[in-house]
Amino acid sequence: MTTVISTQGLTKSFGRTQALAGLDLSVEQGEVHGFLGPNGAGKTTTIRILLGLLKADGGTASLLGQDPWTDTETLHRRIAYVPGDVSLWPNLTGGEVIDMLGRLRGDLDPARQAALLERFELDPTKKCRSYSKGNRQKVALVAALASRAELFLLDEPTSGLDPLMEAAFSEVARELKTAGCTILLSSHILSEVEKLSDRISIIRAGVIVESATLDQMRAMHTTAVTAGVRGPVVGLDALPGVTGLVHEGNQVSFSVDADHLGAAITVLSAAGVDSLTSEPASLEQLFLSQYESGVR
Amino acid sequence: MTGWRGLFRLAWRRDRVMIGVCLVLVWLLSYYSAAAMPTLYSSTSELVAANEAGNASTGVVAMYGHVYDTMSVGGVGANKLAMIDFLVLAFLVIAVVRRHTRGEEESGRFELLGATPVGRLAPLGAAVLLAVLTSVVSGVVTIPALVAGSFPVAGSILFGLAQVGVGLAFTGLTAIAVQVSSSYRACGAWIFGALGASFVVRMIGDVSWDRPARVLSWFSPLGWAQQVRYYDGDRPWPLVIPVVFFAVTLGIAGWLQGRRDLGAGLLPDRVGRPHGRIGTPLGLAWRLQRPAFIGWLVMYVLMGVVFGSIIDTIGGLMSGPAADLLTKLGGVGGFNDIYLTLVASMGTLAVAAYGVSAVMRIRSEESEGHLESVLATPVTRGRFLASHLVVAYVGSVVLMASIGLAMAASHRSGSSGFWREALPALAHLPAAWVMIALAAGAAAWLPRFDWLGWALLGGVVAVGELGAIMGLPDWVLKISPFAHTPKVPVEAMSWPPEIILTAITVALLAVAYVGYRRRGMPVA
Repeated sequence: MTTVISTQGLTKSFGRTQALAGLDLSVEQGEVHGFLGPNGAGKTTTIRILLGLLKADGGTASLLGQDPWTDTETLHRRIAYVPGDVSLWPNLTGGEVIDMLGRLRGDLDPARQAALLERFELDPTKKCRSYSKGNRQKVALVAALASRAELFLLDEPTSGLDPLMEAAFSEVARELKTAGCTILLSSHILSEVEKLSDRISIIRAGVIVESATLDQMRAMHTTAVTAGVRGPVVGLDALPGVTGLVHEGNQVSFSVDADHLGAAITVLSAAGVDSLTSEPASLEQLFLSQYESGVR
Repeated sequence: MTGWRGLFRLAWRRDRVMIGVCLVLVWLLSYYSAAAMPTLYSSTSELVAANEAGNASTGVVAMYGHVYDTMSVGGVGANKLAMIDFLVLAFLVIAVVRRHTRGEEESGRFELLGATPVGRLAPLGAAVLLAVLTSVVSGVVTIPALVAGSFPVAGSILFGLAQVGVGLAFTGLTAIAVQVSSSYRACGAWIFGALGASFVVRMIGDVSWDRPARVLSWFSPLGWAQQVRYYDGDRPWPLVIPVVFFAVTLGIAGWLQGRRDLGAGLLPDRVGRPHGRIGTPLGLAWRLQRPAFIGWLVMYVLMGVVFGSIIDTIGGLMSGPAADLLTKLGGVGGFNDIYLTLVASMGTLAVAAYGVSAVMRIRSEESEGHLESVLATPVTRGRFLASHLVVAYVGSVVLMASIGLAMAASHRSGSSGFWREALPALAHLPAAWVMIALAAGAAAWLPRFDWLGWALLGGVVAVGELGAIMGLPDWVLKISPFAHTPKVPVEAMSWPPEIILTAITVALLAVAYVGYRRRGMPVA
């Protein structure tokens, strides 16, 4: 596998605020990489550095093997981008904007464009000023997804879209992945990243705090278990890795980390189990636990 | 109309500075114009001569109207003043009505207010009330200003009331336009189009004052005001027309208001093209700047035609001693040359403003968030910068060429040669280019201080116009690039300053390019 995006120790400050504090990001070819973080964590700054809009203060960044600051022109032929805050020219129509961006990139494909307009149910004859937020987002999405780029940098691509259109976007994203494209999907919407991403990097305060596949990430975190038991449960509180134990009548609930899940189940089954539900940590919990650990 | 009081107070709170400044300017202008008249013409014969000269010039009549009684104390001067006062007031009431109705709806702010107990007609009512009060105060206070300045009382009262009428008529028209048009911008196009049309209709009518087409003057709110003939026959009855017009238009507007949705007009937004032809950064820059450029071009061609057609009559407007002095200095030909030089340098100062505003588009594209999408394509920063520079620089040449050619073409009898009168318009361009390049440098290196481009231009204009009067030292006056270009045709053409200024422009643009390539984007 080749690495498509690679940054080492990337730093960037705006005046006294430090946006990036040594960011190490690595995205492999052909993967959908979730780039997850709260507002103001540095997601957009990272993407702008990758696009050559901003120059990093320190560290290195490489994109498709090239330098994003100096090789912008050749690089941008292979990249498509959806900005986080889509702002369009009020007196151009959506169709005019999509055509223009396609021509500027040099890979205008009318057939693919028409198909995407259909899938996203976008009317290209309206002036951009009369589009709602969701429709502006669709214009940017159609313009980017219609391209023949190898790498897609999507900054919160589904913000403002309704659930149907979100589904349409996920479908197109999967098709692009099947075709071998790489997608960097920045978002704070966890469910969308969870559905699409092969790997996830969590960014907080300008550094990547965790980067792994969803399974690996879950293994590092606790599973929530709830069980209905017949007899008394003995020894669960003494088991390492078990937290938040609550015993109410014949209902037991607790959290346990991946290493001690087996032992906990053994203790439970000794008491006789009537019902059992176990939930792997949701991305939301991973995210919150990462965030809280940083606050502390 | 529930809640109109609150909305009215809000509108007044937001507009009081704009309205106050405009009205004070109108009053000062009225007073000083009226006060200057007795000093301009010392005898009745001079006054009559001046009025006759004005009537003889199609350009003057087209701009300001015909003087029916050549003994009129106000005459051409009052007509000029009236047109400026009327237009300022018209712009003011249009802005007020448009802002507080569709402007508020489109910005989304009205949704905040609309959720409170506010009647359907309240926003329109509050906006119209503010515009009406503005019109009345503007006209009524103009009366003592004119009288204090030396004009007769009866004519001054009619002048002031005619001004109120113009304000009322455009308030009513705007009230309809905000109902009908599909957006705030479209509303501006409709109402400014109507203002332009009413100017042109009365222009044709006034120019044909001795032919049947003079009836056209009666189809324009500006024409109604002129037909009151302040100082020029004093007839009050046309004052009724704008009042009736206002009542009718306001009634229609109120009726329409009940039939449209919030934020939408009665006419739907026009459907645009599903596909576009823009394929280069220059194509985009031209598409974005085209409407403004065409406006400038129309204005420059019209100004050229008007200035060209009044060249010969300007000499006639001057009183005896001044004309004698001019003749001694170089005759009528000499006077025409001074005039051509003046138009060229004034026109180029304005073109510098056009160029600065065109260059500033790179900043507004950046701060409005459009730039990111363009720079994410293979378009380089250099190409993006260059595209708007082309619009600014090529535009500046086209504008000055158009005013020069239009002026030379419309000055037929008494012309000293077509190219001799057309080409001087281009003489000061390199000075304007330096100012445009400075603006580009500010936008490239100091994006947060991009207003420096405007500030520098303002400083240069102020020093150029007032520096000598203020007694500033010579080296300060020489800072302005406009102080170095040859004043052709009064002076002989001289190439070294033109070449040096062009070289400075190229150097400044290179500096701008370097800065633009190395800074972070986008800066809000």
